Amino acid sequence: MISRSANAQANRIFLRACIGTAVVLPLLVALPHALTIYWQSVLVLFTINAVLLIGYRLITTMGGWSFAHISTAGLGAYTTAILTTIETPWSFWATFILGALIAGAFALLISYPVLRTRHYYFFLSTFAAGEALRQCYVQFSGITGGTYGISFIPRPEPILGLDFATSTGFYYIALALAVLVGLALYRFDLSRLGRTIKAVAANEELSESIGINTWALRTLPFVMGSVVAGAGGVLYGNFNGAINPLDFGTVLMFKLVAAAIVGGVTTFFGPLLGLLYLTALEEIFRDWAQWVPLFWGVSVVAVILLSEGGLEMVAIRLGRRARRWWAGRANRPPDGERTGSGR
Amino acid sequence: MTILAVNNVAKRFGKLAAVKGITLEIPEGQIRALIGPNGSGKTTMFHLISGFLRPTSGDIRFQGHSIKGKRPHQIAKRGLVRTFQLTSIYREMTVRENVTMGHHIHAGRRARPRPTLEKLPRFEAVEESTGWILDFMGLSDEAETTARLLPAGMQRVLSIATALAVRPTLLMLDEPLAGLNPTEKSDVAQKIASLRDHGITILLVEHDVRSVLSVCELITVIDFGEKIAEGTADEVTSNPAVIEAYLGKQSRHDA
Repeated sequence: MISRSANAQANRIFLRACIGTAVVLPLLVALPHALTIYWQSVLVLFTINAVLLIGYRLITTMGGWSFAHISTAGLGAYTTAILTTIETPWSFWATFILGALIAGAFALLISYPVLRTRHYYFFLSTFAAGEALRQCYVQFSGITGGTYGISFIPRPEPILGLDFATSTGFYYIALALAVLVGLALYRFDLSRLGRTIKAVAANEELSESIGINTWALRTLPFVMGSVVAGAGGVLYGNFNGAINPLDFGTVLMFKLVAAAIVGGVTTFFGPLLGLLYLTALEEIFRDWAQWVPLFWGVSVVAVILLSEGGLEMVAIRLGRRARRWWAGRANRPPDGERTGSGR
Repeated sequence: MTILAVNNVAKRFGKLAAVKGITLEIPEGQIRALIGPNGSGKTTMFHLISGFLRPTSGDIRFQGHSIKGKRPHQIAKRGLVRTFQLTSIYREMTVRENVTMGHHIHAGRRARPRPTLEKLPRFEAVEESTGWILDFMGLSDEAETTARLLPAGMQRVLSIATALAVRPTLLMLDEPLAGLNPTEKSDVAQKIASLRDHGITILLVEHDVRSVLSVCELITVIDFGEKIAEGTADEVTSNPAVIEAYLGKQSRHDA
């Protein structure tokens, strides 16, 4: 059997997103030229974090909040760092793909034990797996440089005359990745497969009983999200030019989890909204950097207490109210008489 | 023809023997009830047959093929579908979305129709099939309601409707009538009889014997993980072992 209406609707929504992207894209391309060098690097890091977060949100759709995401991203960063600094260095672009695949392979490897756990236990088991991986970065010092890490990672070699040594040039790689991954995963989210993954998260037992391979549909988003993490990690390491195990510790991981909580994960854009909010806080209080994690923490608690569902739900509610107000204004009779059944 | 053959199946949880070698044969097109007091092993039997638990020993054959050790979704794909004692639905989806989700194995371009014994009407599109099932189960008026807002009885009906969307040959219902009011009970019992008329074999677990007597052709009684009786409603209710083990001495006069 085929499902006509659902697929047509998904295509319609996706087309709208593509048009929206096409409209906004020129602005995003022009943006770095209007910024100082400092803000350009903020923009690059924001875009890379957005890639990591898009992958993270995919993992959350299967119902588990992984805490291994950043360590996994580190695999991508280390792949690039190691292979582009050896005696006969690899091309950045080859390590880019390899780094993403290695991150995916790692996720597949740990999926068997960690996906046996649910809820808090999933959080804890992925935390353990991620920390074990991070310890590998410290302990295998022969290739990873131990706690000092690896420095002097060369920027990507130019292609098509584009120079990636500048922040602006590098930004275009990050932007291209963010847009491609974003659109691909947005379509995936709307697809039947994406919806089935969410159904498994909502009721695993029932899903299994109606013939859904729940194990496969929990592993798939976990591995896919980790591949995206690996790709983001490659850019992260390469942009910084130097990496060490602390870069892939709990600070960045907490930032992603906080973005997902503050923004909400029901819609595709929620986590990005959260990331925008956290980055804005970080930059506003740049001179009081030691307080920033506190502000993030307070924001997380505030969202949990005040608005379950995060900023995305606030945005949706405001949008709905604005639409109602607009519709009300358009339908209001000229003499200002009240309509409606309320008495 | 026998559709389900459970042969000397046992399940141990550590030192506890939950099911101690039960043999069960269900012929095609029958409505069979599995009854027994609390903790007798009914739900464990359900989990064993549907693949949610793996038997310690014994074999389970469905339509002639062994399904022992297969995972639940593989068993469901062969046409053996079960519902749960605690009503299991997608709470945040609408009624229509729930039933649509039930079509999972039949949806998509690559899905091929599987030859089955059930005589439900066949449709080209998931939407049409969903519409028919909603109609058949009497859920059409609530199609766009979020499932968690339905009354308990309707949620139970919805869980059966979702299972029906898988197009089962053998449908296993875990306490389909528990917690329903008398009107709902007779309603659901009627639906079950009607499903059998559509060629679906039914195995159901019930705690409350009286409510199933009217719809079941054959009743299997288990207690402490063992089969203690099997027969028609009259035979079972007059069986002294059943009265002693299941109904209990105090209940004899109100059974």
